[in-house]
Amino acid sequence: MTAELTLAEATHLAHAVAARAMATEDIRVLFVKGPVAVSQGLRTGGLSSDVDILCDPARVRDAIDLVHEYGWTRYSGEQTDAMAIGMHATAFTIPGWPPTIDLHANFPGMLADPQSAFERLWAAHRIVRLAHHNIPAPAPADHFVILALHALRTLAPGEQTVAMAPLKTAWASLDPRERQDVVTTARETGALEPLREVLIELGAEPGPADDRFSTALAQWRRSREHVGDSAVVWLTRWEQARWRERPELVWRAFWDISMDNSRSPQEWELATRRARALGRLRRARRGLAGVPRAINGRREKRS
Amino acid sequence: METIGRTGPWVIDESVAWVHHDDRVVLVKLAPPFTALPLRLDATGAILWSAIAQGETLEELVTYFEGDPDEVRRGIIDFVTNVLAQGLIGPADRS
Repeated sequence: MTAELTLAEATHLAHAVAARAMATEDIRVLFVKGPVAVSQGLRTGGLSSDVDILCDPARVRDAIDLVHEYGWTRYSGEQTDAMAIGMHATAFTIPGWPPTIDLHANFPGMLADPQSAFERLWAAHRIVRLAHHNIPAPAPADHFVILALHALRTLAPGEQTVAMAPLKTAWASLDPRERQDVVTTARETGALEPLREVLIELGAEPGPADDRFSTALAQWRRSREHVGDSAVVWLTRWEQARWRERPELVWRAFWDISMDNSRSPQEWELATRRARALGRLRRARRGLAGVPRAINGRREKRS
Repeated sequence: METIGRTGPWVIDESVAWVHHDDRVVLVKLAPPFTALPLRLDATGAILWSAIAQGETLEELVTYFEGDPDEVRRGIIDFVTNVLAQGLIGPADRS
Protein backbone atom coordinates (compact mmCIF):
# COMPACT_ATOMS: atom_id res chain seq x y z
CA MET A 1 0.00 0.00 0.00
CA THR A 2 3.06 2.26 0.13
CA ALA A 3 2.69 4.79 -2.63
CA GLU A 4 4.67 5.64 -5.68
CA LEU A 5 4.50 9.36 -5.24
CA THR A 6 4.33 12.04 -7.84
CA LEU A 7 6.56 14.96 -7.00
CA ALA A 8 3.55 17.26 -6.58
CA GLU A 9 1.85 14.90 -4.14
CA ALA A 10 5.04 14.36 -2.19
CA THR A 11 5.82 18.06 -1.99
CA HIS A 12 2.35 18.94 -0.68
CA LEU A 13 2.46 16.17 1.92
CA ALA A 14 6.03 17.04 2.92
CA HIS A 15 4.91 20.58 3.78
CA ALA A 16 2.42 19.12 6.25
CA VAL A 17 4.99 16.67 7.63
CA ALA A 18 7.58 19.40 8.18
CA ALA A 19 5.04 21.80 9.69
CA ARG A 20 3.91 19.21 12.21
CA ALA A 21 7.48 18.14 12.97
CA MET A 22 8.48 21.71 13.80
CA ALA A 23 5.32 22.25 15.83
CA THR A 24 6.23 19.36 18.14
CA GLU A 25 8.99 21.56 19.57
CA ASP A 26 7.18 24.89 19.11
CA ILE A 27 9.74 26.00 16.55
CA ARG A 28 8.39 28.93 14.55
CA VAL A 29 8.77 28.41 10.82
CA LEU A 30 7.42 30.02 7.67
CA PHE A 31 6.97 28.01 4.49
CA VAL A 32 7.97 29.91 1.37
CA LYS A 33 7.94 29.57 -2.42
CA GLY A 34 6.55 26.49 -4.20
CA PRO A 35 2.95 25.45 -3.56
CA VAL A 36 2.57 28.01 -0.77
CA ALA A 37 3.21 30.81 -3.27
CA VAL A 38 0.80 29.14 -5.70
CA SER A 39 -1.93 28.97 -3.07
CA GLN A 40 -1.46 32.68 -2.36
CA GLY A 41 -1.81 33.48 -6.06
CA LEU A 42 1.80 34.66 -6.32
CA ARG A 43 2.82 31.92 -8.71
CA THR A 44 1.06 29.99 -11.40
CA GLY A 45 1.42 26.23 -11.06
CA GLY A 46 4.85 24.90 -11.83
CA LEU A 47 6.48 21.88 -10.32
CA SER A 48 8.31 22.27 -7.06
CA SER A 49 10.83 19.68 -5.98
CA ASP A 50 11.53 20.98 -2.52
CA VAL A 51 10.04 22.38 0.63
CA ASP A 52 11.50 25.73 1.64
CA ILE A 53 11.30 26.67 5.28
CA LEU A 54 12.44 29.91 6.83
CA CYS A 55 13.15 29.07 10.46
CA ASP A 56 13.25 31.27 13.52
CA PRO A 57 17.02 32.03 13.51
CA ALA A 58 17.18 31.52 17.27
CA ARG A 59 15.90 27.94 16.86
CA VAL A 60 17.68 26.78 13.70
CA ARG A 61 20.11 24.59 15.63
CA ASP A 62 17.18 23.07 17.54
CA ALA A 63 15.36 22.43 14.26
CA ILE A 64 18.40 20.74 12.73
CA ASP A 65 18.93 18.61 15.83
CA LEU A 66 15.25 17.70 15.87
CA VAL A 67 15.00 16.45 12.29
CA HIS A 68 18.33 14.70 12.67
CA GLU A 69 16.91 12.90 15.70
CA TYR A 70 13.88 11.94 13.60
CA GLY A 71 16.17 10.26 11.10
CA TRP A 72 15.96 12.73 8.26
CA THR A 73 19.24 12.78 6.38
CA ARG A 74 21.35 15.73 5.35
CA TYR A 75 21.34 16.02 1.58
CA SER A 76 25.00 17.07 1.47
CA GLY A 77 26.15 14.26 3.73
CA GLU A 78 25.91 13.70 7.46
CA GLN A 79 29.22 15.43 8.20
CA THR A 80 28.33 18.65 6.43
CA ASP A 81 27.44 21.48 8.77
CA ALA A 82 25.90 23.95 6.33
CA MET A 83 25.62 26.69 8.91
CA ALA A 84 29.25 26.45 9.94
CA ILE A 85 30.31 27.05 6.35
CA GLY A 86 28.00 29.99 5.85
CA MET A 87 25.35 28.38 3.67
CA HIS A 88 21.96 29.97 4.21
CA ALA A 89 20.09 26.66 4.19
CA THR A 90 20.55 23.07 5.26
CA ALA A 91 18.88 20.53 2.99
CA PHE A 92 17.36 17.36 4.37
CA THR A 93 15.59 14.41 2.87
CA ILE A 94 13.09 12.14 4.54
CA PRO A 95 14.26 8.62 3.62
CA GLY A 96 12.22 7.38 0.67
CA TRP A 97 10.63 10.75 -0.11
CA PRO A 98 11.54 12.61 -3.30
CA PRO A 99 11.55 16.27 -2.20
CA THR A 100 14.36 17.90 -0.26
CA ILE A 101 13.45 20.02 2.74
CA ASP A 102 15.52 23.18 2.85
CA LEU A 103 15.80 24.73 6.27
CA HIS A 104 16.79 28.38 5.85
CA ALA A 105 18.47 30.27 8.67
CA ASN A 106 18.02 33.51 6.77
CA PHE A 107 17.10 34.62 3.30
CA PRO A 108 19.78 36.00 0.93
CA GLY A 109 19.08 39.62 0.08
CA MET A 110 17.34 40.35 3.36
CA LEU A 111 20.28 42.30 4.68
CA ALA A 112 18.84 43.18 8.08
CA ASP A 113 19.67 41.12 11.14
CA PRO A 114 18.08 37.70 10.45
CA GLN A 115 16.23 37.63 13.76
CA SER A 116 14.62 41.04 13.29
CA ALA A 117 13.75 40.17 9.66
CA PHE A 118 12.13 36.94 10.82
CA GLU A 119 10.17 38.68 13.59
CA ARG A 120 8.91 41.20 11.03
CA LEU A 121 7.69 38.39 8.74
CA TRP A 122 6.27 36.35 11.61
CA ALA A 123 4.26 39.28 12.96
CA ALA A 124 2.19 39.37 9.76
CA HIS A 125 2.20 35.67 8.92
CA ARG A 126 -0.81 33.84 7.52
CA ILE A 127 -2.02 30.28 7.35
CA VAL A 128 -2.45 28.49 4.04
CA ARG A 129 -3.95 25.04 3.63
CA LEU A 130 -1.90 22.30 1.98
CA ALA A 131 -2.71 18.60 2.19
CA HIS A 132 -5.64 19.60 4.46
CA HIS A 133 -3.27 21.05 7.04
CA ASN A 134 -2.40 24.50 8.31
CA ILE A 135 0.88 25.74 6.92
CA PRO A 136 2.33 28.99 8.29
CA ALA A 137 3.44 31.34 5.53
CA PRO A 138 4.46 34.97 5.12
CA ALA A 139 1.74 37.47 4.26
CA PRO A 140 1.46 37.75 0.46
CA ALA A 141 3.26 41.11 0.32
CA ASP A 142 6.10 39.76 2.46
CA HIS A 143 6.20 36.62 0.38
CA PHE A 144 6.56 38.76 -2.74
CA VAL A 145 9.77 40.23 -1.27
CA ILE A 146 11.15 36.73 -0.75
CA LEU A 147 10.17 35.59 -4.24
CA ALA A 148 11.74 38.67 -5.81
CA LEU A 149 15.00 38.19 -3.92
CA HIS A 150 15.03 34.52 -4.85
CA ALA A 151 14.49 35.39 -8.51
CA LEU A 152 17.31 37.92 -8.52
CA ARG A 153 19.99 36.16 -6.54
CA THR A 154 21.07 33.85 -9.33
CA LEU A 155 20.79 36.42 -12.11
CA ALA A 156 23.55 38.79 -13.17
CA PRO A 157 22.47 42.45 -12.99
CA GLY A 158 21.94 42.68 -16.77
CA GLU A 159 19.78 39.56 -16.80
CA GLN A 160 17.07 40.60 -14.39
CA THR A 161 14.52 41.09 -17.14
CA VAL A 162 14.31 37.27 -17.10
CA ALA A 163 12.84 37.51 -13.61
CA MET A 164 10.35 40.21 -14.44
CA ALA A 165 7.62 38.14 -16.10
CA PRO A 166 6.86 35.95 -13.06
CA LEU A 167 7.33 38.92 -10.75
CA LYS A 168 4.82 40.96 -12.75
CA THR A 169 2.35 38.09 -12.38
CA ALA A 170 2.92 38.04 -8.63
CA TRP A 171 2.70 41.83 -8.42
CA ALA A 172 -0.60 41.78 -10.31
CA SER A 173 -2.05 39.47 -7.67
CA LEU A 174 -1.47 42.07 -4.92
CA ASP A 175 -3.91 44.86 -4.15
CA PRO A 176 -2.70 48.49 -3.83
CA ARG A 177 -2.38 48.23 -0.06
CA GLU A 178 -0.31 45.04 -0.33
CA ARG A 179 1.94 46.69 -2.95
CA GLN A 180 2.64 49.42 -0.46
CA ASP A 181 3.36 46.74 2.13
CA VAL A 182 5.96 45.24 -0.21
CA VAL A 183 7.98 48.46 -0.05
CA THR A 184 7.56 48.68 3.73
CA THR A 185 8.65 45.07 4.23
CA ALA A 186 11.57 45.47 1.84
CA ARG A 187 12.76 48.47 3.85
CA GLU A 188 12.26 46.81 7.23
CA THR A 189 14.05 43.61 6.26
CA GLY A 190 16.94 45.30 4.48
CA ALA A 191 15.78 44.17 1.04
CA LEU A 192 15.00 47.60 -0.33
CA GLU A 193 18.29 48.25 -2.12
CA PRO A 194 18.56 44.72 -3.57
CA LEU A 195 15.03 45.17 -4.93
CA ARG A 196 15.10 48.88 -5.78
CA GLU A 197 15.32 48.48 -9.56
CA VAL A 198 12.66 45.79 -9.63
CA LEU A 199 10.29 47.86 -7.52
CA ILE A 200 10.73 50.87 -9.78
CA GLU A 201 10.12 48.73 -12.84
CA LEU A 202 6.91 47.48 -11.28
CA GLY A 203 5.76 51.05 -10.72
CA ALA A 204 6.37 51.22 -6.97
CA GLU A 205 8.03 54.16 -5.26
CA PRO A 206 10.83 52.74 -3.09
CA GLY A 207 11.63 56.05 -1.41
CA PRO A 208 14.99 57.26 -0.11
CA ALA A 209 18.06 55.05 -0.25
CA ASP A 210 18.64 52.72 2.68
CA ASP A 211 22.35 52.89 3.48
CA ARG A 212 22.29 50.85 6.68
CA PHE A 213 23.72 47.65 5.22
CA SER A 214 26.52 48.79 2.91
CA THR A 215 28.85 45.82 3.51
CA ALA A 216 26.12 43.23 3.07
CA LEU A 217 24.80 45.10 0.05
CA ALA A 218 28.26 45.06 -1.54
CA GLN A 219 28.44 41.28 -0.95
CA TRP A 220 24.97 40.82 -2.47
CA ARG A 221 25.96 42.84 -5.55
CA ARG A 222 29.27 41.05 -5.90
CA SER A 223 27.66 37.64 -5.77
CA ARG A 224 25.19 38.71 -8.46
CA GLU A 225 27.98 40.09 -10.63
CA HIS A 226 29.80 36.77 -10.31
CA VAL A 227 26.85 34.40 -10.51
CA GLY A 228 28.06 30.81 -10.83
CA ASP A 229 31.58 31.67 -9.69
CA SER A 230 32.10 29.39 -6.74
CA ALA A 231 35.33 31.19 -5.76
CA VAL A 232 33.30 34.33 -5.05
CA VAL A 233 30.72 32.32 -3.11
CA TRP A 234 33.42 30.81 -0.90
CA LEU A 235 35.21 34.10 -0.46
CA THR A 236 31.97 35.68 0.74
CA ARG A 237 31.50 32.81 3.18
CA TRP A 238 35.06 33.38 4.37
CA GLU A 239 34.34 37.05 5.01
CA GLN A 240 31.18 36.26 6.92
CA ALA A 241 32.64 33.38 8.96
CA ARG A 242 34.02 33.62 12.46
CA TRP A 243 37.71 32.71 12.83
CA ARG A 244 36.94 29.40 14.52
CA GLU A 245 34.77 28.39 11.54
CA ARG A 246 37.40 29.19 8.94
CA PRO A 247 39.51 25.99 9.07
CA GLU A 248 36.41 23.93 8.28
CA LEU A 249 35.48 26.40 5.59
CA VAL A 250 38.84 25.96 3.85
CA TRP A 251 38.59 22.20 4.10
CA ARG A 252 35.08 22.18 2.64
CA ALA A 253 36.00 24.61 -0.11
CA PHE A 254 39.07 22.79 -1.37
CA TRP A 255 38.69 19.21 -0.32
CA ASP A 256 35.14 18.12 0.54
CA ILE A 257 34.05 16.36 -2.61
CA SER A 258 30.43 16.03 -1.45
CA MET A 259 30.16 19.80 -1.92
CA ASP A 260 31.16 19.54 -5.58
CA ASN A 261 28.20 20.26 -7.78
CA SER A 262 29.39 18.19 -10.71
CA ARG A 263 27.65 15.24 -9.03
CA SER A 264 25.08 14.93 -6.28
CA PRO A 265 26.38 14.07 -2.79
CA GLN A 266 24.79 10.65 -3.16
CA GLU A 267 26.59 10.06 -6.46
CA TRP A 268 29.89 11.10 -4.88
CA GLU A 269 29.21 8.65 -2.07
CA LEU A 270 29.03 5.85 -4.63
CA ALA A 271 31.95 7.05 -6.76
CA THR A 272 35.18 5.06 -6.93
CA ARG A 273 38.13 6.14 -4.83
CA ARG A 274 39.93 7.20 -8.02
CA ALA A 275 36.99 9.31 -9.22
CA ARG A 276 36.79 10.99 -5.84
CA ALA A 277 40.53 11.67 -5.81
CA LEU A 278 40.42 13.17 -9.30
CA GLY A 279 37.36 15.21 -8.34
CA ARG A 280 39.18 16.56 -5.29
CA LEU A 281 42.18 17.47 -7.38
CA ARG A 282 40.04 19.32 -9.90
CA ARG A 283 38.20 21.07 -7.08
CA ALA A 284 41.40 22.15 -5.35
CA ARG A 285 42.90 23.41 -8.63
CA ARG A 286 39.75 25.27 -9.55
CA GLY A 287 39.51 26.77 -6.09
CA LEU A 288 43.12 27.95 -6.02
CA ALA A 289 42.79 29.41 -9.52
CA GLY A 290 39.63 31.25 -8.51
CA VAL A 291 41.01 32.92 -5.38
CA PRO A 292 42.89 35.75 -7.17
CA ARG A 293 39.86 36.40 -9.37
CA ALA A 294 37.54 36.61 -6.39
CA ILE A 295 39.90 38.89 -4.46
CA ASN A 296 40.35 41.15 -7.48
CA GLY A 297 36.58 41.32 -7.88
CA ARG A 298 36.29 42.46 -4.27
CA ARG A 299 39.03 45.10 -4.72
CA GLU A 300 37.42 46.47 -7.87
CA LYS A 301 34.13 46.75 -6.02
CA ARG A 302 35.77 48.66 -3.16
CA SER A 303 37.54 51.10 -5.48
CA MET B 1 -19.76 3.64 19.96
CA GLU B 2 -19.28 0.46 17.96
CA THR B 3 -22.43 1.22 15.94
CA ILE B 4 -21.32 4.76 15.23
CA GLY B 5 -17.92 3.44 14.15
CA ARG B 6 -19.55 1.11 11.62
CA THR B 7 -22.29 3.32 10.20
CA GLY B 8 -20.71 6.73 10.11
CA PRO B 9 -20.40 9.54 9.64
CA TRP B 10 -16.68 9.64 10.24
CA VAL B 11 -13.99 12.28 10.21
CA ILE B 12 -10.48 12.15 8.85
CA ASP B 13 -8.15 12.09 11.83
CA GLU B 14 -6.54 15.48 12.33
CA SER B 15 -3.10 13.86 12.21
CA VAL B 16 -3.58 12.73 8.61
CA ALA B 17 -2.33 14.83 5.70
CA TRP B 18 -3.77 13.90 2.34
CA VAL B 19 -4.04 14.97 -1.26
CA HIS B 20 -6.57 13.91 -3.86
CA HIS B 21 -5.30 14.00 -7.43
CA ASP B 22 -7.20 12.53 -10.33
CA ASP B 23 -8.50 9.16 -9.18
CA ARG B 24 -6.27 8.56 -6.22
CA VAL B 25 -5.67 9.75 -2.71
CA VAL B 26 -2.23 9.80 -1.14
CA LEU B 27 -2.06 10.20 2.61
CA VAL B 28 0.38 10.11 5.48
CA LYS B 29 -0.05 10.07 9.23
CA LEU B 30 1.82 12.89 10.90
CA ALA B 31 3.51 11.43 13.92
CA PRO B 32 7.09 11.28 15.23
CA PRO B 33 9.56 10.42 13.81
CA PHE B 34 7.82 11.73 10.70
CA THR B 35 9.53 9.22 8.44
CA ALA B 36 6.43 7.17 7.48
CA LEU B 37 6.01 6.67 3.77
CA PRO B 38 2.67 7.77 2.31
CA LEU B 39 -0.12 5.33 1.56
CA ARG B 40 -2.03 5.35 -1.69
CA LEU B 41 -5.72 4.69 -2.18
CA ASP B 42 -6.71 3.98 -5.74
CA ALA B 43 -10.09 4.19 -7.46
CA THR B 44 -12.66 2.79 -5.00
CA GLY B 45 -10.58 3.63 -1.94
CA ALA B 46 -10.12 7.19 -3.17
CA ILE B 47 -13.86 7.59 -3.77
CA LEU B 48 -14.64 6.28 -0.31
CA TRP B 49 -12.01 8.44 1.35
CA SER B 50 -13.26 11.63 -0.31
CA ALA B 51 -16.86 10.79 0.55
CA ILE B 52 -15.92 10.07 4.16
CA ALA B 53 -14.17 13.44 4.27
CA GLN B 54 -17.47 15.01 3.19
CA GLY B 55 -19.25 13.40 6.12
CA GLU B 56 -21.17 10.70 4.28
CA THR B 57 -22.67 7.83 6.28
CA LEU B 58 -22.42 4.14 5.45
CA GLU B 59 -25.81 4.10 3.75
CA GLU B 60 -24.91 7.18 1.71
CA LEU B 61 -21.64 5.57 0.66
CA VAL B 62 -23.52 2.50 -0.53
CA THR B 63 -25.35 4.66 -3.08
CA TYR B 64 -22.03 5.64 -4.68
CA PHE B 65 -21.66 2.18 -6.20
CA GLU B 66 -23.62 -0.10 -8.47
CA GLY B 67 -24.25 -3.76 -7.61
CA ASP B 68 -25.78 -5.76 -4.84
CA PRO B 69 -26.17 -3.30 -1.91
CA ASP B 70 -25.34 -5.95 0.69
CA GLU B 71 -22.14 -6.85 -1.09
CA VAL B 72 -21.25 -3.18 -1.57
CA ARG B 73 -22.00 -2.53 2.11
CA ARG B 74 -19.71 -5.38 3.17
CA GLY B 75 -16.89 -4.01 1.03
CA ILE B 76 -17.30 -0.54 2.50
CA ILE B 77 -17.37 -1.90 6.05
CA ASP B 78 -14.13 -3.76 5.35
CA PHE B 79 -12.53 -0.54 4.12
CA VAL B 80 -13.83 1.53 7.03
CA THR B 81 -12.77 -1.10 9.56
CA ASN B 82 -9.29 -1.08 8.08
CA VAL B 83 -8.80 2.70 8.13
CA LEU B 84 -10.41 2.96 11.56
CA ALA B 85 -7.97 0.38 12.88
CA GLN B 86 -5.07 2.40 11.50
CA GLY B 87 -6.33 5.53 13.22
CA LEU B 88 -6.76 7.30 9.90
CA ILE B 89 -10.43 8.11 10.54
CA GLY B 90 -12.66 8.14 13.61
CA PRO B 91 -16.35 8.45 14.41
CA ALA B 92 -17.60 11.98 13.72
CA ASP B 93 -19.10 12.39 17.16
CA ARG B 94 -16.37 10.70 19.20
CA SER B 95 -15.78 13.91 21.13
